[in-house]
Amino acid sequence: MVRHYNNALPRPSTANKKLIPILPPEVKVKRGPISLNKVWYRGSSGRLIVIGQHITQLFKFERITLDYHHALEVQGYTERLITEAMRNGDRHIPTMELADFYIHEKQLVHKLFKVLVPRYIDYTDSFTKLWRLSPALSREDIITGKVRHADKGCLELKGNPLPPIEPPKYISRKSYLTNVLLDAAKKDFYASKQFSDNQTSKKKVETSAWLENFNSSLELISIYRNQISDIKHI
Amino acid sequence: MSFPGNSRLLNQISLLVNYARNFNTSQILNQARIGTFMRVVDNSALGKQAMLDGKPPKIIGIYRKPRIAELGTKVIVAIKGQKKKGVVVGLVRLQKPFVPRFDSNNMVLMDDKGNPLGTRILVPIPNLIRKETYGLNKIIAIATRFV
Amino acid sequence: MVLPRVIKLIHSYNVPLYCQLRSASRSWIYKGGKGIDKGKGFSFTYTSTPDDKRQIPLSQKLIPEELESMRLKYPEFLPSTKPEHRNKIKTVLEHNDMLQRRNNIDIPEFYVGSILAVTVSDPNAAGKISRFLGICIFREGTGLNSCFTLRNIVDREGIEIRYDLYNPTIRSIEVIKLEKRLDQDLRYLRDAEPQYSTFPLDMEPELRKEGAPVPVNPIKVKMLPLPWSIDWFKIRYQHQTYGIEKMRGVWEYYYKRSVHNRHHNEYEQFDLMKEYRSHIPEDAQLPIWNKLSDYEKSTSEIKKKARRAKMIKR
Repeated sequence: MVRHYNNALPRPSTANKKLIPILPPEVKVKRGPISLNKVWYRGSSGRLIVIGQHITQLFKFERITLDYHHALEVQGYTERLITEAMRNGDRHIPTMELADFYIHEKQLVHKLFKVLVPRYIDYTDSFTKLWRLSPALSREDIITGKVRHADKGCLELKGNPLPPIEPPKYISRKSYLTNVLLDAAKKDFYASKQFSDNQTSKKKVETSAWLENFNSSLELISIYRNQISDIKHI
Repeated sequence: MSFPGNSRLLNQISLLVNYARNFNTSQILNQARIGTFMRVVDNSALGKQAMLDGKPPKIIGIYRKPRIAELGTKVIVAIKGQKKKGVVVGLVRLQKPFVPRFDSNNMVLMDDKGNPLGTRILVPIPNLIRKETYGLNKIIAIATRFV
Repeated sequence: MVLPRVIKLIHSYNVPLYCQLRSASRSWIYKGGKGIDKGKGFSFTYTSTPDDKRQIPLSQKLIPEELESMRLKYPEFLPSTKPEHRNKIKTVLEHNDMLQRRNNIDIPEFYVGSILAVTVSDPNAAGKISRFLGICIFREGTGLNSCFTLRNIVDREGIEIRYDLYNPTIRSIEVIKLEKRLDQDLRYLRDAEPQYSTFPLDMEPELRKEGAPVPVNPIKVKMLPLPWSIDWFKIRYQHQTYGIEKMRGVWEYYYKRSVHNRHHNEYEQFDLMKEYRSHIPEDAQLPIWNKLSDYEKSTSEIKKKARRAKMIKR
């Protein structure tokens, strides 16, 4: 085996051709590139084509499931692609070549520059989100006898129109029926004559009148509550 | 797979044979060892004839341990069937900073006593050789230019 | 019940290997490598930390326009691209030493392809001084290790010398012609025609306006016939040499041969993450350029006067 000691370029020169922003901490970039173990391609040139296939599907469906380690690589490539498109714009030739190489469908190139770029212009965080899924098998895989020990990951673009994976952490209770009725009752009371007349009178009279209204509204609420228990909880 | 300029034969063969990937060669070491060909750089008659004929001198022995020739080392060389001594004056290998690197492995022929065969050196010589420990004052006297 | 207590004592006092018991684990010995704190400042992963969160959106450039050219003028102030070789304390100390050295000597702005003349104090030389002139082929290193090589053909012999920028034995560095080329590596001049690397040693420096932009020399170099010392064709498709003139017939053969090779990537210019890993991002560059711009403003007037004095002397 011939090895090139004389011919090796021993020390790399500082390549400062571009100004590149640092990726945000949610994106996990490993020290070295991850190899996608596929059989039909050979070498590092085929790997980029496979990554391009994943990126086209990401832009099409805005949420895809992959092997977790494959998704780690695709995450970095998408973020870089979108930042380049944001900074350089539509008419810059090298970015057009990049988009042409990575995106295999022509409609999605227009989507990049016209839909995704204005969506992410004011973002300081990452544009994508990676979820880690368990290696549980589906019914079809169990029947066919497929074995999977590796985790799967769900990559999605932020701001997508699909329903969210995670429920929101804080649920505001203003939309609950009981609270809607209470707010309406409050409004009616404060707008009514009873409140304005009773303001001058003693406090005890106010409280009693106010309590009467409150109790009446509670009766209404109890009626509705019985009806609600029949309906399923939303 | 490519080969350096030293092995021209192998380069020509590889151009003809497309699937010859399994040539077993020794490692390509960026060193001047026993077996390397040198270029004579002074105006001695022996050196001129050897370079014109296409039979450059080849290192047989090196007066140094380890047996790797560096700038200023004395060397035995085979020219035209004769054994002669010489001094290495320029190397192609990458050097430390402030030491020049030449495009050819240069040397100067001399006697056993240290008297050079030629009267003039036509090529620049590194300043390293001026060290007193090397004992090459007679060759410094011939030189025209220093780098 | 005695054994586990003994193991705990060993763990606490860092007893060497031969005192280890059978059941003890060796992980505590190797903890020193991972537990060393290399300091904050430059991120030791390729992504930022939550402490260094970005306040400006990603679509806007962080570095202002004035400081964009600094990364080309002072490339040795940046840290190494590998985060394993970075150390905040080392960079801070190196920057201080580099700025101190720049007070003593005028290290000018130069690029690969520009012609320089360097005078060095050499104990072995006649008169203890030696001067060499040549074209800058290659520039490498970070910090105090930064070097550049000069090439010239003298008496029909090609010579290359590598110099350290911040070595105190250097007396002066003069820029005779400020230029840029299409490549960052001009090492293919070794196998090019000799006319492209000959420069007379008596060349006089070229006058240049201070604020003018640096010209780019779009020369395409003619190469000597094969064989060459290095396979420059392969390097073309990996590092994109634009400065070589295309040769008929040979180009296509070498390209086809290298495509069959498994380790060749013909789409390397589209590889975004490889580019990212070899560059240093904006957020890490900004604090360095801010520091340097303060240094420039404080010393610009002094240097202008020194330059004018030199011009008047001539």
